[in-house]
Amino acid sequence: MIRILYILFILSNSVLLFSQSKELEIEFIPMFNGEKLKLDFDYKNAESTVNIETLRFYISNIRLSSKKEKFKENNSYHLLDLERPETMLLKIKTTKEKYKLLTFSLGIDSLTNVSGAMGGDLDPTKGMYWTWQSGYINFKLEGTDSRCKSRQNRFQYHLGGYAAEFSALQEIELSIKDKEKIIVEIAIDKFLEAANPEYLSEIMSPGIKAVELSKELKKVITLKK
Amino acid sequence: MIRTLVIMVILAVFITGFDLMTAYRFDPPEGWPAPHYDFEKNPFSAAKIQLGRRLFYDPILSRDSSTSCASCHSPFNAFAHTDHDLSHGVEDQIGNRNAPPLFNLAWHPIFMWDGAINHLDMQALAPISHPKEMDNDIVKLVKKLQSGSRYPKLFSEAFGDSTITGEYILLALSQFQLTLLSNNSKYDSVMRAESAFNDQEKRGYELFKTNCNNCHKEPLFSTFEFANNGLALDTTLNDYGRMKITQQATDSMKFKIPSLRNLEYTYPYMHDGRFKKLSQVLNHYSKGIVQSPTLADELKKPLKLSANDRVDLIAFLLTLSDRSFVFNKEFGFLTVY
Repeated sequence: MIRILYILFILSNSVLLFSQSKELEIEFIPMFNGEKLKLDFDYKNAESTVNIETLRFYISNIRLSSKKEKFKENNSYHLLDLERPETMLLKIKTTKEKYKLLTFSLGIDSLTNVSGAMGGDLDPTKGMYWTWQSGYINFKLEGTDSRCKSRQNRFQYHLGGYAAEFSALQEIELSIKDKEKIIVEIAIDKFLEAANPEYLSEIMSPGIKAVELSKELKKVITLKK
Repeated sequence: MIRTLVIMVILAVFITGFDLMTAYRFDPPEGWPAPHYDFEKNPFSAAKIQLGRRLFYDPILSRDSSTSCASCHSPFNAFAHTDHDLSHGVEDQIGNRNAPPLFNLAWHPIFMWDGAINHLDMQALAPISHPKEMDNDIVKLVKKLQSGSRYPKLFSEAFGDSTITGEYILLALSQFQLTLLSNNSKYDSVMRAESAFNDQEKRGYELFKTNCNNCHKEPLFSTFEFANNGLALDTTLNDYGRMKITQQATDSMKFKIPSLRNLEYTYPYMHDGRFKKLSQVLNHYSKGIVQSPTLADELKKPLKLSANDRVDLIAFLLTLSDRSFVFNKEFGFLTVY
């Protein structure tokens, strides 16, 4: 009896291992002036000095597809925090090694936003949940820019909002052409230019500006060539 | 050997399952609508409810360990804050709104006077973090609870995990608050045909059904929607209610419709606690309405209530007091030792 159970156990494990052994790596690399972004580093440009202190964002609902196959990651919520570089590399257990198309969301979908308390990367202790008004912060960028007219030249962009016209969630689709390791670059310098810190140094709540800036963010997310 | 083990496992599963089912199932009262809260995502257990209860009464939640949830939500006031028009927080700071009572929360689709909070689980984050309330931070709170000697054990008993998380704190607080069911007022016993209204209450009930029931709908005595009930703007607060959240002019001066249950215990009234007495509330509805584009349709013409009508209506409203709820020992103070 016990021996049969033991054999079954081994068998089921090996089946599990076999079917889930494929792993696809997706690395997110925030960029500044064409290089990997360094936190707490003074970037001296012609017009300003910029220092990025915090960069944190959610990648969710990862989907992969090829002509024949579609894959969707279960419980697909990832908090990426540049302070913890290991979080920038996602290892996705898939059924295949190669896909043509990668699709994911930048931020947290509206259903999850209204579903109550959750754990793991969605735990409200992660600093990505607004307390005065319900909702996840999809993307958080904080630092200083000498052009900012705010106190200590600080800028804080907290982009989020899930309800109807203030939905800031961005859907991103990248053609990955059978690549085994995918590198997604986010040009933070270009995003910052679009945000125009000289005139807008703070977004801390959902609204039209958060939506507009989220669309700008989508534009600077590209596959590494 | 194996057989004994199997029997023991079955017995254990049966006993624990049985215990949870009988003692802590959430039973909506008969004839009430289906609750809004999804209990499957946060299954009830005795340990979680009691943990939530301890947290609710423990000032450890605030930055300086001075203020608990119960500071503004006292059981003897149906979990509101009698006598205080605006809520109080750490270092005697005064907030911007009146603390609402807490009961029958499973039926609320949205929270706060302006609907800023979309789920009961997430509600507690607001007072914990607000600088004029507990002035704390959920990350600091987790550390504080984890470093003490009492809570890790309680979280372990409740969640099978002594590593405290924000999620566990919020789920436990929800569970305790969900147990705050109030359905034993005189009104409820009349509806269950266990007792009867006197003549005055009967007349009051008819007036209620004609004038109030559209917004303060039975059996919960609210639709939990947002409405402008014609209050003048208090220029010391400049609180436009729901508009702050939706950023829509059509939501100006709209506030969440409160339940009328237990109103005997929950004075003062309105989002800013401007009325101390029920008679003032009825005066407002009959001759104090401020006309504006967002005013509720029901109030465009003032309510016609004679002096006798008001007395009758108040007699009915007092049948919504649930003494057994207010004095229920299961909901009372519990310390951690």
